[in-house]
Parts: sequence; C-alpha cells; structure tokens
Amino acid sequence: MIPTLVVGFGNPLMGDDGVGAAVVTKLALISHQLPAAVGEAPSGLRLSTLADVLYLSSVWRGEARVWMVDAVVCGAAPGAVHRLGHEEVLENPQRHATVHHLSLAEGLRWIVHSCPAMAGVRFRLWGVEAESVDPVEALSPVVARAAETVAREIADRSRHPVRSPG
Amino acid sequence: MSSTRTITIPHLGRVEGHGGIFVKVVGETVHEVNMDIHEGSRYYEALLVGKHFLEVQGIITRVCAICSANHTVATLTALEKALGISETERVHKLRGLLLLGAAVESHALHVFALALPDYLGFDSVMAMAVDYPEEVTFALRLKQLGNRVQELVGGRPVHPINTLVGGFGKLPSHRALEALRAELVQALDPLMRFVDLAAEIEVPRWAAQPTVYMALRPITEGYRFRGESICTSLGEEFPAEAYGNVVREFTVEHSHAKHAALASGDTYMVGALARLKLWGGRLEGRALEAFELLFPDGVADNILLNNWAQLVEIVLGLERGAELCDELLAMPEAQHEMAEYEVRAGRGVGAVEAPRGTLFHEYELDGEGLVVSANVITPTAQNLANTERDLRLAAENLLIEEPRRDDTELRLNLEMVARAYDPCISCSVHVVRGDS
Repeated sequence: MIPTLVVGFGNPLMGDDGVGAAVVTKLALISHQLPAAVGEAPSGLRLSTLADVLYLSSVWRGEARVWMVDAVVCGAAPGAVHRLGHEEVLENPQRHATVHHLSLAEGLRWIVHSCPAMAGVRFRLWGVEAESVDPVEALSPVVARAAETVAREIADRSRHPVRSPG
Repeated sequence: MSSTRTITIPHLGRVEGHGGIFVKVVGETVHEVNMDIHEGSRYYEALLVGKHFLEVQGIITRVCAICSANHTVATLTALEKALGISETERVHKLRGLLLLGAAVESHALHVFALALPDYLGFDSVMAMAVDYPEEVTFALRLKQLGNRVQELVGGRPVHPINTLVGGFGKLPSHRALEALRAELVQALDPLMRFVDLAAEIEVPRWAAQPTVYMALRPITEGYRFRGESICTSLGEEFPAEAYGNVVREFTVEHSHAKHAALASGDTYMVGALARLKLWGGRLEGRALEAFELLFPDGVADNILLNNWAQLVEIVLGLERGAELCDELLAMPEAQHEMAEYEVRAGRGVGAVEAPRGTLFHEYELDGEGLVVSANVITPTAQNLANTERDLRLAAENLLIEEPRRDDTELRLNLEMVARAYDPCISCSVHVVRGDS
C-alpha cells in the first residue's frame, strides 16, 4: 500500500466550493469512519480538509502521494470531473486564485521548491466543475453526484496502488 | 468623437466573474473606476442567530482561512464582554501571541509571494525563485512559522479549536514555548536581509495622495494588535463599542458590497500602514530598525508602502512573539486556564487589528446564551471606498504620464494598488481555474 494523503480543498459553507470536503466526508463514510480534520482510513488513505494549499505541509506526514479534490471553474458542464496528473497539476499556469491567495498550482510549486522533503511527492487532482459558489451550505445536485463518483474512484484507486505512480 | 477604453481585472472578482476592477477612460479622462467585491460575512451573521454562544467561534472563523485567528480573538473578546468574563494575564498573552502568529503568516504570504515579485519585475513568486531561490524558500518557512505559532496556541494552524470562551483548553508546555522562541529568534536575522533588500527598491508614487488612517489605540504602551478605542489620523478617538457610529457603511450602485466612510465623509484606510502612521513611534528593537530603514522620512501617504509596513510588522511579530514566549515562560507551567462564568444576557463588542486592518465583532446574547444578533465589519469592507479612490488617482496619473500605456501594463499597475491593500475578497471561496 502506497501511503497516500487525500486532501479536500474548499469551504463547505460556500456551495460547490465545498466539494473537496464532501468527497473527504464520503471517503470517511465509505471507510466507516466519522469525518475528521485529519483521519486514518482503513484503506490506507489519510484524510484531510484544507482551505488553502499552503497549509498542505502542515498536514503532510511523509506520504508518497497527495491526492487532491477541489472545485474547478473552467467552462465545462457543472459536475464534470477533470482528472489531472502530477505534471498537469504543477504546470497549471494560474498564478493567483485571488489577489489574496496563490492558486493551487502556484502554491504547490512553492512548496516543492521550498520543502525538499516534499519534492518527491506525486500529486494528483480531481477537479469538479462547480455550478454555484454562492453562500449555501449544500452542493448543487449535479456536483453532489460528481462528489459521489470521485469518492468511489479514489477509494477504488487506493485499492490498486500499482496502476500508476501518481 | 472621443475613444472609449475599458480595463478590467477579473481576478479580483468572485468566481462567477461579475465584479473586479473596472476602469472606463473616455478620451484622456478617467470616467469610471469601480471595484465590486463579495462581502461574505453577512451570510455568516445570519447563520449565527439562534445558535448557542459556544458554537459562534467555530462558525464565524470560517469567514477566512488566513484571518481565522483574528476572527477568533475578536469573537471571544465580544462574547466575554457580553458574559462579563475578564481575561486573565496568561490568556491575554496567549491570544496576543496567536495574533502575532497570524500577522507573520498573512504578511509573509502577501509581502513575499504576492507583492514583492511585482517590485522585483517577476510575474510570480516562482519566477522570482530563479534569481532568489533562498529568499523564496525562506519566505515559505516564515509563513509556516506563523502557522506553527497558531498551531501551538490555537491547536491547529488554521481555524483554532483550543481557544475557548473564558480561556484555553490546553496550555502550551514550557518546552514547546522554548522551542518556538528559538525559532522566532532564529528567523530575525534572515528577515532583516529582506528589509535591506526592500529598502533599496524604489516604490512608485502614482497612487500617493493624502489619506485618513484608522487603527485601534494599542491596549498597552507598546505596538499591539488589540485595543479598546478607535483612533483616526484626524485626531479623533472613540470607544470601540461606538464602532457603529464611527464606521458609516453605505451602499453604492455598482457594488453589492457596502462601502465605508467616517462621519466626516472621509474615506479611510485600515491596515499595517495605518497602524504605523498612528503608532509607529511605539516600535522598539529590530522592528524600529526596520521601520527606520523602510520609512526614513516617516510614513508617507502612499498605499504601495503598505507592503513595507507589513514587512515591519513581520519583524515585530517575530520579536514580540519571542518576548511573549519569555513572559509566558516566567509563569508557572499549567495544563489549562479557564475562567468560571455564568451564562447571562448581554451585548459585547470585540475589536482587534487583523493583518488587513481593524476588525469588529458584536454579539447580543439572550439569557440562555443564544445569539440574538451578530455583526461583523471586516477591514476589506472598510478599505473598499479608499481603494477605489486610489485606483482612480493611479489610473489618472499613469495615463497622464503615458497616454498610450498598454492595457497589460496598466492592468498590472492597478492590480498592484489593489493588492497593496491586501484585500480579503473571496477568501471564503477557493477554486481552481483553467481551460476545459
């Protein structure tokens, strides 16, 4: 079993922005666990939710793989799942998420540059196209269905660790 | 017929894209400068009504990841006032340490990753890493050090859980405080090298204009992030409880976020530059050294200098953080500290200086401890009107200087002005953007 940290990004109080947290909660339920800020799932996945990529090094405990789930806005149909491998995640050209935050890719590049211990980590991102990020404490139905799909896919993938390095 | 030119900066807006900075130039005249942002806190205030006061901290700190420690201290201060709880000396010092950690974390990200690349001619922090690899590495370590302060005091690096109404669930051990103190002290020398680097950078003046500043009067004689009264650079002083009369919120047609001004009608700036303007004379040690290097002629009216004001506050955060560790180490080691109190009806206001400026929280509780009303005024909301004012001046000056200046350069320069305020615009939302 390759040690893997699964991180759900976003804010559950902001509609579909909470899809990362929702996937982590579903993974915890799949594993018959209560959701927690950082928990150990029987499948070998360690689960975490974060609001910002720059906290990643605070929850990373030496896992070889970090699998991330985040809301994505790139013009596809709401609920569409974008699957990005290691290079695709790190090479995403977006610099800032806002004037106040670095983007996921820029934050990861900064971490890889500045934390030698994390230089060998393989990243993977499941990006779920958001329908709405208004302040509502629920996912839109189409994104909720996508969250279910992503959670099962991550659980399946963790059971077949030799399929790919990332 | 005059030509019309529009410049938009969508990154400043919400993910839906309606918003951001919009500048309209007709001929050679700047006709319109609008900044529209989403003010997320209103939703949280409504969420709190009817909730028990013990739930408030856990909900309201979700307003922001970076400022969660500041929202926590403002919330606890307001709730404790409503409940008639007095803060013990140890609790006061620990909350002060938490705020310093938050300032170091937030300012390190803003100054080094978001602002400094603009001034050194790079388009991002990672582009800067090519020429400044060690500095870029140190910057992230500095941010992580701010996180560690918050983790030690608050129980985790973001959205503290160890901070409670009346005290703390668990106090940091002396051993942990000693280790933290050592880290804070060790970071000072490398940080001062950044101060030297910044002091050599010429800061543009195209957004400089006379400005009114507002900040809390520090609770002691030092330079602190907590206070009981609101001061302005006009010489006014008001009790924090009167914030509702001082901060006059108003609506504008182009934005669904409220703007703010003083009773005089003046727009104003809150944040590190305002704090330095009003209380810079109270700095000591390495922070004073940094202040004198970066502001040799005192604090000038130029929002772009807010980046350097934040740099001074990072130095203060490390230095004062180490002092607070010493003061806490001088107290007997204990497992926890919690005031005894009884639930009662009441109303309380908590005001703190967050990285981006003065933050107000107000709660009214009923006899069962349920929230009757809640109000939060964030620094970014207070800075909005002043940001538009500075953006307009910057656009005018830049176009006078070079009427044919291309959109890309103009956009970057205007973004630098908005960024200097370090606005917390869509901190409740975090999405990846890309091409499908």
